[in-house]
Amino acid sequence: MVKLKYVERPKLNLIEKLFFLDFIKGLKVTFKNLIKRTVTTKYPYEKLTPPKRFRGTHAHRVKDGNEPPSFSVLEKFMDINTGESRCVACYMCQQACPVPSLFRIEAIQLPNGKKKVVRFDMNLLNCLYCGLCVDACPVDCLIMTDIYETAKYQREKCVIHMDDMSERGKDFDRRRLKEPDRIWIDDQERIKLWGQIKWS
Amino acid sequence: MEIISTVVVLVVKSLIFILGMFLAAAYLTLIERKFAGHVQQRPGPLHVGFHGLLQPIADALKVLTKEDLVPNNVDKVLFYLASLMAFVPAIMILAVIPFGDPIKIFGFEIKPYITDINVGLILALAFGSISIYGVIFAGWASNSKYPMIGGLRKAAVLIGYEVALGFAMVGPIMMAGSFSLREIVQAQEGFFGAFIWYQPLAFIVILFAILAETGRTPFDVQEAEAELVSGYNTEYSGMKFGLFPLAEWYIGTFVLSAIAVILFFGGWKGPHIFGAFSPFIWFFLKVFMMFMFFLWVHWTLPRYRVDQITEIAWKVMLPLSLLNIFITAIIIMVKG
Amino acid sequence: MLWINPQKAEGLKSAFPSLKISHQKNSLSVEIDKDKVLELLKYLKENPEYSFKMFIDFTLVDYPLHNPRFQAVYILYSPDYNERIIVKTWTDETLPSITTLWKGAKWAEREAYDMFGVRFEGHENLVRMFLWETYPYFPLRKDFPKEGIKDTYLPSLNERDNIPSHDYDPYHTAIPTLEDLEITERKRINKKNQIVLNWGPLHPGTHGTIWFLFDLEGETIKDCDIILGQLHRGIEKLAEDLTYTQIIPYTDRMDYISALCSNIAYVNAVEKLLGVEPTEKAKWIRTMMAELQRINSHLLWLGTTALDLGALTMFLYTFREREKLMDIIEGIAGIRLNSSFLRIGGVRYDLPEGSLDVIKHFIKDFPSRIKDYEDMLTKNRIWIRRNKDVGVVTKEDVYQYGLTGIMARSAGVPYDIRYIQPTDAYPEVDFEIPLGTVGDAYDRYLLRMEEMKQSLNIIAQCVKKLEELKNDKHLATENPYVLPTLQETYFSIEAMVKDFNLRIYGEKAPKGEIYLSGENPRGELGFYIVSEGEGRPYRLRIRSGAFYNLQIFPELIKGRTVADAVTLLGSIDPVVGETDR
Repeated sequence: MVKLKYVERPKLNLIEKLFFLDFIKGLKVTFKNLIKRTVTTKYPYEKLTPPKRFRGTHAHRVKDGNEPPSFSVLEKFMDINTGESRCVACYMCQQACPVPSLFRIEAIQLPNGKKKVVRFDMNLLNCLYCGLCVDACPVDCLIMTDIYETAKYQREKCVIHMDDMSERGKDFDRRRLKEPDRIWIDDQERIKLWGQIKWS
Repeated sequence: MEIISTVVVLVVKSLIFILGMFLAAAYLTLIERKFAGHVQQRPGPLHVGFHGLLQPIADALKVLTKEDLVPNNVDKVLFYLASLMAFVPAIMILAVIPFGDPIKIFGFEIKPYITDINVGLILALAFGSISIYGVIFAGWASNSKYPMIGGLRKAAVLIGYEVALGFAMVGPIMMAGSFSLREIVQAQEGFFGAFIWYQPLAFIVILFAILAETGRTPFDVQEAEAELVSGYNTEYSGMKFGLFPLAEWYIGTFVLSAIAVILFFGGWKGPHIFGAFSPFIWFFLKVFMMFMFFLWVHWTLPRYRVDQITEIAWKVMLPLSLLNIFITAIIIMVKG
Repeated sequence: MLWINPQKAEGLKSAFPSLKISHQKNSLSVEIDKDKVLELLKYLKENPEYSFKMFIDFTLVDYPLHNPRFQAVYILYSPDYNERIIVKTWTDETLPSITTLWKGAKWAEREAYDMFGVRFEGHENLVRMFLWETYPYFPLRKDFPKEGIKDTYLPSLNERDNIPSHDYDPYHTAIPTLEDLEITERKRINKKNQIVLNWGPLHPGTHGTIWFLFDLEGETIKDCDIILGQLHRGIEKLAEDLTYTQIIPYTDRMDYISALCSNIAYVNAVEKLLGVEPTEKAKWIRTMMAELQRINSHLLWLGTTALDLGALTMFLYTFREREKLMDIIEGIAGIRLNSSFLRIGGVRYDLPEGSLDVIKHFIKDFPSRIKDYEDMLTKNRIWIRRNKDVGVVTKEDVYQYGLTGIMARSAGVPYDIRYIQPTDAYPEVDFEIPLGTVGDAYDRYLLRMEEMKQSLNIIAQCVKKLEELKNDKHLATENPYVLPTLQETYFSIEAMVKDFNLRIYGEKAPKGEIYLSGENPRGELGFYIVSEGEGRPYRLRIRSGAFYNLQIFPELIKGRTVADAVTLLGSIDPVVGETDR
């Protein structure tokens, strides 16, 4: 049920006015906080771990035996060795992307009839980090990692390529693949701001 | 010979006072930043030196080595003069502030003040008023709209509160019967002799006046950053800029706190528990508490609008201080 | 849906025989000739049987092959009967200005002129709204290319040896020069008094890139105008080339303080258009997230307004709590600010483990923080003096200017979309809508504080419900318009094909139109979508609450000082991303 209610406008009474009780109340709050512990995270000396769902710099998962069934269907047409990016050049990420020119994907036809992805560039300067491309990838190849420090000095450095994406993917999976899907994993670091949370 | 030695002593003393004040002001910035930080549940400066102890020095180096920009269309003379005009009077008030009674070390009598003239308080007020010119000059010389508005605002506030401040000081002066700051302190004997017990009204007026004079929060209209970017010092940079907040927020607050302590809290008087330096320690402790109180207020309250500030000055503070004079006069008459 | 009863609309025919009524699934519109439109609107506004007093939105739709070319769309609301109506008319070049009926149409008409080049007869100062005065094109016309006209060569950008990226273009769309800006400024305001103060576009007090022009006499503002458009990205134009799903990340970037609320308003409109029903769980998650975001947004407002009024510490205190909300949103949606959490038919992810515990902790902790804020501000005499009687809004102003959100409620108008047209789980939760009595900035402060408490109350109810719905689905993937989840794509070839189809061709919405809005923290955020049966919207009009709320600013500030401008702007609380779109 929605109810309507008129808010009351508080007024200062004479005693509050004469003895500056309104100021004293405010001063009390600031004093209370003065003697509390600080809540800051001393970035860059301390860093919080982003949640697993965090959408940071993109990466490619590699062929490592954990592929979903859809990959084995599409793999037949592809020339992918173990340890290489799983990309099957379906261009779905490019289709899903709200920015028209962010991706540049090229695949060639090998003499044996199989396809090989030779280029997978993303210009992250245009990226919205919306994650639609990740949702679109049918073979669990394109993922987003927890890397958020993406500032670079040159524009060209902001374009990421297939090799470094594969490396990043390997690194990310090594660190966090087995992790449960939890709101965050670093309770100890977050205690400073949050206090002790009662986990069920 | 007599004259030369006096001059030498005076020069040395002034140098000590000025350098000491500079150093103190630098570390007052650190105190303020640490205080503000902890009030806001953050640590404040932390990484330059132990808990940021070297931060003021780093800041000073930064401000001194910054490129000193002077915009094209400014009135150059006034532009340079303004930052000095704001800074020098604030530090000159120090000349009349006594830090304690004369003490004897190795047979020499050392007076912990530069001069003790019998119109000390008037002189302090006069120096305080000069700093208005710094603000107005800065606003005018910058040839820019925001500094202009900021300078005029500050001038309006200062004029209003100078008057209230002056009248509020009359109460303690009447009780002490002297303009000399040293004699005012002498007149306050014991814990219950402090004038704060007899002059609470004057004390409140002076608190407000100091906040207004030094541009601390409820009255920091001149640099209300949401309205005027940075007020009258918008066009300044480098050390020329640095002098304004240094003069206003730190030296000004410190010096006026010292005057308030002398007028109401018995200056350097206190139980002799720290040995020979007891008076100094008491004095600085009291001034420090005063200063912290201003910081506390600064980091708690929102600010008034400029017309409300002048309204308070003329409609509330001035009548209150006049009323205080009247009450004091009656008390003195009744007591004889 | 709040559309006017068709029988009642038929009644209009007696007064206007040439009226055409079109009753569609998601809308009810009446169409009339151009020369009669002003008369009809006046009739609708003033006739007590209809009393469409409140102006909601005005826009144009371009049909290049139709003659006349432009369709004008007026959306009105009747507070007495709780109904909406769409009035349409056609034109080629000019339209009568309706600013005589609703002052709030002033900016909407300027925007229409800016984007389509249609002129309005009787408009007091028909200048461009977002673009600069000398800009030669009208970008929302269908013949304007979607990527813009790249005709400007900027040498400074091109002094380089190598091409930085594959989509680098040495040519740029037009940018204004200093002269252009000066012409633009001159057209907005005539200096009559002492100085014209440029307050903005980059100024600490303007909360973004708004450019205010104050004609000052001393410190009193005698005249004021606003130049918007520094953050104009043309989302409405971009949307015409994107599928319905692809637009979601762009809605994040409108009101970036409350991205989730914008997402929800948009997705609800699209779902109604497509006929998709989200799952029960998704509805509750959405409501919960919207309210978390509302607290988040109000906290930012409280902090920045207090900062503007000098209470520096308040800012850090609110940001401390906001950080917690950000942590929650980051943990659930993946990104702190522009979360793109919603999908058509549900939400992107299910709630992660432990999220409800964290939210429960927040609910327990937050009331004491609100008490701190109130101790510091509510009764503070300075705060009261600064806020009282600043920017008093009356009920009449609300209807005239189409003010929504807190602005409307502070004047005592119970206009809250959660109340008049509840979506998601709002029909099932209990809460109170605070209303103001005076309509000044102080009322708006009190209202926002009260709304935070109410939001907390709603969140608590959502958490309780979501604990029951633990094992439900978060996305209605059985619907043909809803993209499958990743797991489904991996394991079923049908899901993969559906995914491919929807990605490539978009959600083919049935032909029609819809106007649906959501209660953003900044006011009513409405989406008017015209679909021509393609996978992409033919026209997407965003009715931004902040845009209309900001419109009253010059009116309220006249005769007040610069210091009050800060208070007033703070209490209106616009976000430039949303005003400019």
